[in-house]
Amino acid sequence: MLLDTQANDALAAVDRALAEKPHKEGHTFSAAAQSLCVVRDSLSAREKDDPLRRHWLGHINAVISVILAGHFPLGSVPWDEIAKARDWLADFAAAVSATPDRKG
Amino acid sequence: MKKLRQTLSETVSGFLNDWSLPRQMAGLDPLSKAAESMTSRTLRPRLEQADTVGTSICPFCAVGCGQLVYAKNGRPIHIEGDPRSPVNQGTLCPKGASTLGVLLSPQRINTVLYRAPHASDWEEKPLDWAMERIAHLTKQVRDDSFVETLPDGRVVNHTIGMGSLGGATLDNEENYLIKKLFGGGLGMVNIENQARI
Amino acid sequence: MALWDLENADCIVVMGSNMAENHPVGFRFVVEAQRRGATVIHVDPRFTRTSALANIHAPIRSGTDIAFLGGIIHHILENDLWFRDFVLAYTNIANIIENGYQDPEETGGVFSGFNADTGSYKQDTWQYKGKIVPSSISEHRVPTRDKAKGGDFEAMTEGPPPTDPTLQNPNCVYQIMRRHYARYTPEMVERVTGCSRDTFLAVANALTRNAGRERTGAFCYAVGWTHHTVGVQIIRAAAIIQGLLGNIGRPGGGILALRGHASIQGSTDIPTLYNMLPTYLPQPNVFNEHGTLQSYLDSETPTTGWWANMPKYVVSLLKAWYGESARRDNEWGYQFIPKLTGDASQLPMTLSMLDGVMKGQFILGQNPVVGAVNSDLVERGMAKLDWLVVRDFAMTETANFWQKGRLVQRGELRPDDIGTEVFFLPSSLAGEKEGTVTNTSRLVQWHDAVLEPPGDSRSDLWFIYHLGKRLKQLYADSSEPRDAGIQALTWTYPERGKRAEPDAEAVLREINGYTVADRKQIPSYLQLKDDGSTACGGWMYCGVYPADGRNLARSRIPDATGGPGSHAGWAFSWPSNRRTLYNRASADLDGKPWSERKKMVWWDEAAGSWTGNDVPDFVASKRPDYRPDWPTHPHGMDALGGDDPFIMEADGKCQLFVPSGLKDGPLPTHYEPVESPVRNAMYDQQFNPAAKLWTRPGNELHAPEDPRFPYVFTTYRLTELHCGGVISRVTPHTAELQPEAFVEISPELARELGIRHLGWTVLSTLRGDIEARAMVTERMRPFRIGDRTVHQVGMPWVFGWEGYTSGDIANVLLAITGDANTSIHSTKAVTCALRPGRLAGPGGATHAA
Repeated sequence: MLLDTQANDALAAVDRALAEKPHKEGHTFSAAAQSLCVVRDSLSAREKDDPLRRHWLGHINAVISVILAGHFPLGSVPWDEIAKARDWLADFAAAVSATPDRKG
Repeated sequence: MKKLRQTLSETVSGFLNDWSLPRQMAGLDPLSKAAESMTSRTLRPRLEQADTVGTSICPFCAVGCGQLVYAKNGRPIHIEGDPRSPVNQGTLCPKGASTLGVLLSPQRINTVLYRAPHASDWEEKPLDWAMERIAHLTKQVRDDSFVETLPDGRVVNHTIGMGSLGGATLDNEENYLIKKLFGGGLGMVNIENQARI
Repeated sequence: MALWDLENADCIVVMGSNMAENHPVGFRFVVEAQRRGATVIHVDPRFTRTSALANIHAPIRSGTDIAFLGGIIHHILENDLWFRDFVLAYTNIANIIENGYQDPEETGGVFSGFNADTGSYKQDTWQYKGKIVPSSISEHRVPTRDKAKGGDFEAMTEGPPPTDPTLQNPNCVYQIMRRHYARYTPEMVERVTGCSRDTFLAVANALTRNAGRERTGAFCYAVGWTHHTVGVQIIRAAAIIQGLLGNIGRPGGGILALRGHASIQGSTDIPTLYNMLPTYLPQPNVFNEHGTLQSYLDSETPTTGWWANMPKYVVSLLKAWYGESARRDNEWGYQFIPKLTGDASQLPMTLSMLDGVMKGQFILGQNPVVGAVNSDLVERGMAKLDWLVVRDFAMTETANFWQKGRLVQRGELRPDDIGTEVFFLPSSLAGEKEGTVTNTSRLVQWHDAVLEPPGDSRSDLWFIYHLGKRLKQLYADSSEPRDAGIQALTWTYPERGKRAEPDAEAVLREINGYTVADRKQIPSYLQLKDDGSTACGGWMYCGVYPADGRNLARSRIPDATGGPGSHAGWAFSWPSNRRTLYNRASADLDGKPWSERKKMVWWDEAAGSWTGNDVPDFVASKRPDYRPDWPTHPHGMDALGGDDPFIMEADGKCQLFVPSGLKDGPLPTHYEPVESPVRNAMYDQQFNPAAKLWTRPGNELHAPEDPRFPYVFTTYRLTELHCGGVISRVTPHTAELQPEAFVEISPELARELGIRHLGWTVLSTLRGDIEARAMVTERMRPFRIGDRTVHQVGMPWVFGWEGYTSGDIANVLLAITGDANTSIHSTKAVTCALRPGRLAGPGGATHAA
């Protein structure tokens, strides 16, 4: 699967979480985390010496760390932070789509 | 044949001389000389063979019973409750009393075992090889999963790509170095132990 | 409290623990107290050896502890049985709470501040009126943000919180508690718990009879209290009782946590836990105001009480970890400390493995396949890892799940499908390595290395130290900022012998702390500084190694007969070798012991200091009549009076009502367990609304009153077999004494289901099915709950497939759910199905009963 497809799948999963605002239910965030990890694993499986790919990997890892706060909240789910992470993910998806080689 | 008969009669008379019951019936104290036999005369307490004795703490629950560990040539020969300890005053429960059996368990494993991905069995490996491989795997996961900052600049400096579980059965010094290396050094946050169980 | 201090109690309640069987040697102090005349009470669903030795056994349905304890609080308040002088002076009973506070009485079972959309609380209506009360652990805290920093509330430094010593104000803690516990009558206790009214009253009377100036009582608990979604609140309920009865900080008074592993207390203090840095400093969080060291300290440091010293402890820790790389101009290395974004405890870790977030896992002397809830899910998670390192001394179910696990046995996975690279590293045991462990009474005891570890067995100290050396080498040439922390980490410890074993004493010396300039041991945390001149790995342990050659954990001088009985010369108990915390409360307001019989520490007017049979838990020279000078905006201990014993709290008072620090309410409230065969008889709210739940495939929960799962299921361990560890299953002596797994069933239920003693049974939940032979015994009794009978079954969770004794893993049946505050899993009260027979498939026949 192409990286931009993976990124857009992950974006759709995070959007679903934001739309549904699930309450102590693991399916939605689990799906988001799994699809984000597909992106991460794609990035980390390829040549990591490329500064752009390394940057993307750090970016996607940051998104995962914030999304996990929705799955495993300390207190209430920080929806405002999840929304920011969603935008960072959208930035990433757009950046990938804009590259000539959409494998990233 | 004659010789055999003689040996037998010597054994019988030896036994009669050695037998403690007649002496005890004659009124001697049954707990001292009167109880002695040829075998017991040469018996010595096992603890006398120990070349080292050290203080230990029972490895099971958190009551913290004192133990005395007796060793000979670096091998344990006896473990008992420390009579000085105000916690247990020499006593131990069934688990604590089995501590020697733990150390000497026939099911103890003394070599490094390795299971390659998808393999159906263990293989033995040198300790040094395993340590080097584990160090590389640790670095690899950390490098692939590390988050320095969020895209808005907030510092995170963590990895959630690996975790560590365990510590309640370990020493304080061990726990300290685990948290220091994994947390303070590598940036792992998923560090947990039985205390939350 | 010290274990041996139980001897001084006049009444002991063991609840949430089977102390006689699981802490047998600790139980001798209970027996001794009883010999001296104390009443011993066991409150427990099962009749065990603890019950057999108790004067009263009060059976309650699993998961109804707060109903029972709340009933005692009701009994104390309504019959005016509280220790008035103690409570008025030392607790917050007279404090006035915010007007906006609403009780579950008014709202159908939740407190004000509850947000149903998020299932969580805001704590602002629980505060003292007009104030904000900071708490001290990161995950739970209300930050220190007062008017001076743009907040809406007055700081604790500006004056004492408002109180009404006449207790008439309807929003004072006393009146709130009376309303909150009004419905916890003996009749309600009987209806909810199944314990008869008479037995309940016998317990309440025994406790209240043994309180006041002359008498004290103690509670002992274990994981029977913590393993619920309301675990913290159960302990809180006992704390309220002990506060009301004056049973804290006094001889024979207190709440003793009976912990299960040799250093489980030590691994909490010097935590291999995600949410704390050594000795209870909060782990920073990305989403809090923790971006810089200064903002972290500003928001996390309470301005009043002992915790005002926090900056000294944080900076000293950073100096211990990062040495010369910890400088003022880089915030003492603060940014090297990883920040949290969410709950990173064990339950989330299991789910993280399943989702592919987690790639590698170290398991150090733990066995989650047996000991963690939802064992099949743990196996599935580990099957997704890239690698797994297990350190233990014998094979564990966790290390060989890929070969002998349930998933493989049932044919769901073949080893070939599992890509996890697994390392088993043999570990050495106590006796073969040296170091300290901390017992359940905070006693730090050294143990010697007298034996040679066999073969490649190594201490965990060796493992972590040498792994660290290798990693430091791998990162030595990096110029990446992210690698600066591992490069800066101080990692120089003397190596000894042919195995290059790191020196455990050198590590303990670092934990104790030293001066940076001349590397002299620091004798007390009073000497720690926030200017980088001191280094200390764990401030509460400071004093354990106060000078060169003085390792007090090695000290072995018990008191002689007739001595003070605190055994101050036997090892070291943190903090400051103090045996009883908050012991200032053992003296009255004027500093005199409440009674000769119950004296512990007192004010010595001639010497101008506190003294006694224990190290006073107070500023040594602070007079009992000291009062804060409010016009000067006092900080720290200056803001606490000479009669405020609870120095770790921001106001020095025992918190009957908790304004900050709890995520699920300021007062304990009875909720049914998440899975229960009955409806909550007290409130519309069925279970703790703030409980941590993660429903997802493989972790489904049973709805209340689900007819498919009618029985209450509980787990426990055995005298002979220790926890999930294979340690006692691979030891012939102990294994022989408990040869096989079993499930305990009452004769009534056995008759109903046609189960014979020693016959096979199958236990099922939505998480999994297991089989075990039946132990039909009157130790299990059916409960009468309302107008129906509720059956309870129980099973030891200590079995697995490794070792000389084996059996199915009870934790297969349990779901991943967490206490609202601690994320501790729930094992003591779930629901299950039960039938005679065996499981289909290998090892089980389909029908033979």
